[in-house]
Amino acid sequence: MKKTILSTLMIATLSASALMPTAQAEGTKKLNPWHDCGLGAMVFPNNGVAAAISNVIWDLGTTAVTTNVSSQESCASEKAQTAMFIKSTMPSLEQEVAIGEGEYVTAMLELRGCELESHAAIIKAVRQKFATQDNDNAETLYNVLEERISSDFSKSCASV
Amino acid sequence: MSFTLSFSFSFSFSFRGIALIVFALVAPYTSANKLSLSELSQSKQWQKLLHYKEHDNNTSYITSKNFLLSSTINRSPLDELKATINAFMLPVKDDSQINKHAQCRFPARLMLIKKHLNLKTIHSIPKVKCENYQYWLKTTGASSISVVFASGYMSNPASMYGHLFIKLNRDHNSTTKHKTSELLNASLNYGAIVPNKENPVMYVLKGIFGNYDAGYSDQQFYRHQHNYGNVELRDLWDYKLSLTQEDVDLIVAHIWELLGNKFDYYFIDENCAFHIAKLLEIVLPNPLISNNSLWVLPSDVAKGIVQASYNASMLLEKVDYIPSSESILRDYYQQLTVTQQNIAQALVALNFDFTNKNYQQLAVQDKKIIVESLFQYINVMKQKQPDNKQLEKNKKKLIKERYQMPIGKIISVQPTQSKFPPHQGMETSKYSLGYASVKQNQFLTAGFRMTYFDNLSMNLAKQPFANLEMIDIELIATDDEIRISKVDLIDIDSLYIPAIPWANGSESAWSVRAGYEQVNNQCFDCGIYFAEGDIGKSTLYQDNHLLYAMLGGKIFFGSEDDINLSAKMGIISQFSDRFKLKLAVQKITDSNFSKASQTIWSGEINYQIAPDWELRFLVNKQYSTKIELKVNYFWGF
Repeated sequence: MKKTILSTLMIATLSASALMPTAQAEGTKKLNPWHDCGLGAMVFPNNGVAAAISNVIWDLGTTAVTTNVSSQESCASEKAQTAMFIKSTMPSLEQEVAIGEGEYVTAMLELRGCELESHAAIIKAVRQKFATQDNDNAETLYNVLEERISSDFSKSCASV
Repeated sequence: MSFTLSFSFSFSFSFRGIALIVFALVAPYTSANKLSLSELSQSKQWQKLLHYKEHDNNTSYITSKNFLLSSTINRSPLDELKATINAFMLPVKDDSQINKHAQCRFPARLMLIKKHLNLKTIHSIPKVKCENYQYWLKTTGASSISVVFASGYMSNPASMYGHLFIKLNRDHNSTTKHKTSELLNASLNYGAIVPNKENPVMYVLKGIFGNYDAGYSDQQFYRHQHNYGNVELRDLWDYKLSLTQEDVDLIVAHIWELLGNKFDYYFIDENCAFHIAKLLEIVLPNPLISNNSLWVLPSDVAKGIVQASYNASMLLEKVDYIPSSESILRDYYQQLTVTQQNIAQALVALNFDFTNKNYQQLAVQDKKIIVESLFQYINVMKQKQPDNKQLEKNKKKLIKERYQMPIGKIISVQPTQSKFPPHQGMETSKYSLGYASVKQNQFLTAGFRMTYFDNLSMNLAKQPFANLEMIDIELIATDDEIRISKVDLIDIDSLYIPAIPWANGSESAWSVRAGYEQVNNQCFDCGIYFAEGDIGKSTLYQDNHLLYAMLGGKIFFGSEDDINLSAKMGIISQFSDRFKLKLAVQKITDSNFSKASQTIWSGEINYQIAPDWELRFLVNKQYSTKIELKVNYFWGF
């Protein structure tokens, strides 16, 4: 049943995006990984020992961190995994966004399902917007990225 | 041929299903190029998939009850093969349970059975669509495998010897337009399952005596690069293997079988290095490490990989260096001109006030170099001083400043000549034999050290001027008896911890030692049990001469009980690739200053005769003078 609902949502989303690419975000309830997948409450260890023995295993879909309404499938989506990536590598990522390139930025956009040819343009747009934000945390970067993709780069990146 | 049907999970199956299984199992399996049931069960590859112990053929290293399907008492490899085929033959009646079907849980066993048994002549194994496994397989998309070595981490006793994990590399030459980043490769880690906030003493004891469960976990590589490289500041070495796609597929399938299963963890031998080696050995003709190893080090597995042959060629394709944040900082610092270094220093001193006149006069390219170098400085300092809130504020200023400049990275790490991969290190265990003289009495001496290196050995792949020895035993023999002159349980020196560029600190040094020794050179029956520690400063002169000075204390009991305070200073000099010298003097007094202070003089010369051989000359004056000449031989499993 869960899969059926999800499939229907995906088809509906894809259909809507084909017809109205810019209106899609408003028409469908968006996944918010910070709330729906428990990212907001997740604390990443900042010392080596704790990090090494952390039991958070989420990247590859074998375990999903789900605390709210979302399913394992949606929390394993490109958007959710991108959010996890941003949250856990923000110290490196914020530097590379400021520089405008780097391996973490590339990985973030690849994880988000964006074509390689579009990376430079997307990060330029993200950099421009993120530089003006009052809040410079991981969630803000994720929201800026999603906003830029949905407004200007929806055809270059995965839609789910 | 008959055996018991056994199932570890509940599936309904029909009479027809039973008939098919029975028919399948009584029919002959052998044909041209195929193996019989018995032959396959005795093959090393099958037994390695079961992780059976070398000297206990029916016992697996895996302790999870549902990893083995056979319900027989012996659980021989043949029993397990039959039980696995039984389980593979079961029809699927309940789609919601499909991922629990044996074919979905054991894809590597399925590959092996399909390859080596002639099942098609009797009945093909039913096709089961394993959604979870297929999703994981697609996500990993491995076309090659690397073993990654994380260099030693002196802040954690369990990590001082380094760490190993597996990286599953996706094909970078594929025509797909995305997912080619190295950071997004899947990786497989093995480690003890340790409760949060575990007491450090219990952590060490339980690790040594096997009181932890252990297991594999899969995470994307960025977590490891971030945790090891950016948080723990450890360099990584990527050993890429030249495996065929068929063998890569088999290992990847077996990794799936391992996820979620538990092992017993033993820090000394059944550790990450051991189980990473065992995993790779599934496709290798010979073991990477000896099956008789009493202890297993990550560097031993790295050596095994470099020496291993595979398909008439070498197993190793290449070794890549992945520098830590600290190594990147030091590299960038060296690339900066003196002017750039000084301006960066001024910015640090001014809490990143970019209105600094000298900075403002620079060209944009110079500013970018400085800002990008200072990013690395901030990264490292945040790990060294996690409670320093000013660093976070300074980083924000730095990021803001970088936004003022054009897009584009301007500085990158240069190929290094000063870092050596772990396989280039010396063998880690040592035997020694020598001849000593104390007050005109002559003795034979003999020694054994379990691991790892000392600060006089010409060991390229280790921290310079560091000593990390565990279980170091020295014996002295007179005409009629053999005595223990010392047993160091641990002897750790970190005599040169270089200052962080632009930080206000200076080079520092520390040492810790504990064990048993004779109280001085005069007496061979005056043993004491002791623990001592020192901390101090050091300075490097022309890269080859280290001077250090430390203050410390020593608590001991046995033939004498006391607490001593000490001050020591010394020099370690390297004169050539083979010749090293250490001179030291130590002043000791008791904690009440009630006795006359004692001075210990010592000197040691090391000459490396051959890669695994050293000649050492030692002089030590403590009441009386001991002179010793000895030969060290280094070896490994």
